[in-house]
Amino acid sequence: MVRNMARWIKPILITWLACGLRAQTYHADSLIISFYSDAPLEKITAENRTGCLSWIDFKTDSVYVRVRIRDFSFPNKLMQEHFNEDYLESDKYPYAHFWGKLVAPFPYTRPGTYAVSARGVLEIHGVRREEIISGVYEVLPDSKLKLTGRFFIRPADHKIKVPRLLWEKIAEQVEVTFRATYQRR
Amino acid sequence: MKTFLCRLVFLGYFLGIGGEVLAQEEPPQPVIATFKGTRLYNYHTTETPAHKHLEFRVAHRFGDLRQGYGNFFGIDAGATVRLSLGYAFFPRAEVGVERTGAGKWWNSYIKVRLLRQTTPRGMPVSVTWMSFAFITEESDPLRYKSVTDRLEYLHQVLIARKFSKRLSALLGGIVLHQNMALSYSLPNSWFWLMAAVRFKITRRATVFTEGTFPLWRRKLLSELYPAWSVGTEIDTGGHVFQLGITNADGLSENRSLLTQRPLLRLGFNISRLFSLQGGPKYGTMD
Repeated sequence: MVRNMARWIKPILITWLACGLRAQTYHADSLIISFYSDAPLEKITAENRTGCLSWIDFKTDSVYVRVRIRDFSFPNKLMQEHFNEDYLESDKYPYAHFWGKLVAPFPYTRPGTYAVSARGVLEIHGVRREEIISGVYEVLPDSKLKLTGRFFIRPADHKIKVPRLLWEKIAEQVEVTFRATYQRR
Repeated sequence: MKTFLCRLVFLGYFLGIGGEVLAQEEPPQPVIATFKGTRLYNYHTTETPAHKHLEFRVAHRFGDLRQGYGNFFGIDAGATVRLSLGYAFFPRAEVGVERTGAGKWWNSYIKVRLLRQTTPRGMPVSVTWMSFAFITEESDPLRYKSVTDRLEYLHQVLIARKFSKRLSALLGGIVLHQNMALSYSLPNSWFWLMAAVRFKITRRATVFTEGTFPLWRRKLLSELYPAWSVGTEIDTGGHVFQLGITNADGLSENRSLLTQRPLLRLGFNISRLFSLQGGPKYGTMD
C-alpha cells in the first residue's frame, strides 16, 4: 500500500509542480529565424517569421523552440521548393525542435544585457544532435526579454544530402540567426 | 532515476504549458511540386510559376527519328524552336507569350490555379484553367484571307493529384476553336481528353508520359492521331531539362494536337525561373 502510494506521489507532485511552473514561463511574442549559406558561387538566405514558437521556463531553466520548416521564405521560390522537397523533406519532417536547459541560472527580472547559453538537443530533418546555443539576452524595463544570437549547422550532420548534379551551391556550414522577444504569460 | 525524473518534468511541462499550443491543429497545407515544371513536355501541367517569378523556356523538336543514322536520327534536319515567357502577376495566375518557329505562331495564354490540393486533408486535387489565343504569320493567301482567319483559340481544364512524393497524375479536357477550319470537310471546333503521369526516380530526375486523345466523329478518326510523348526531366537546381520523344507533328498546342502525320521526334525543353521579387535580406530583420 505504501509502495503504491509512493508510486503515485511523484507524478502528482510533478504535475502539480509543472502547473506551478507556468508562472515563470515566458513565451515568444515574435521569433524570427533566418539562415545564410555563403558558398563561393551563391549566397542563399531565407527567413522564417511566422512558423516559430518558443518558451523559456526560468523555474526549471528549460527552453523549447519549434520551427515550422515550410515557413522559411526564400527570395527564389524554386529554391524554396527544393529546400522543402529535396533537402529538409518538410512533408516528412515538418518541424525542427530544440529542447534545452540554460547552462547557468539567469537574472530574468533585473534589467540589463546578459550573455546566455542553452545546452540541449537540436532536431532537424529528424536527426537529433546535442548542441550548445548561445545568445545575448536583454531584459527590458517592461519585463520583456529580447534575445538575439547565432549558431552554425552543418547540413551533413543532419543527413541533409546535397545531390552532386546541382548548381545551387550550398555551404558546408550554414549560419542560423535568431531574434526574439519573450513575454511573461 | 534522474533521467526518469527529467522525463516526467518534461512531460508535465509539456502537458501544462506546451499542450495548449501544441494541441492546436495545423491547418491543411497546399501541396507543392506536383510537377517539376509548368509544362510536362508538349502540354501544360497544373503548376504556375511562384508569385512574381518569370519563367523563360526554350523548346526544341528535331526531325523524324526514323530517318536513321544517315540523318543522325533527325537531328541533322534541324530543330523547330519555341520560345516562351511566362510571368506570375498573382500567386495563382500566370500570363505568357510564346513564339513557335513551326507555323510561325504567336500566342498568349492565361493560366489560373482554381484549386490547390492540400495535405493532409481538404482538397484532394489541384485544378487549373487555361486559355490560349494563337495567331499565325504564315503567308498562305489561299487559306488566310483576313486577320481573323489567322486566329485560333484553345481552352483547357487540368486536374492533377500528387499521390505520393514520387507519383503525380493529371487528367484534362481541351477544346480548340479554329476560325478557319483545316479543310471544308473538317470542323472548326475540336475536343480532346488528356492524361499525364510522372514518376520521380531520384530527387533530381523524373520519368513522364503524356497523351491526348481526340474525341469526335468516328469517320474522321483515321485523319487524326493521339499525340503522346515519353521522356525524362532533370532538375539541375537552376534549370529544368526535359528530354523526350513525341509523335506530335507541330510544336504549338494547336498544331501538335492536330497530328495527322505522326512522326517520331527527339526534342528537349529547358526552363529557367527568375525571381523578380525582393526577398528577405540577410541581417535586415526589423
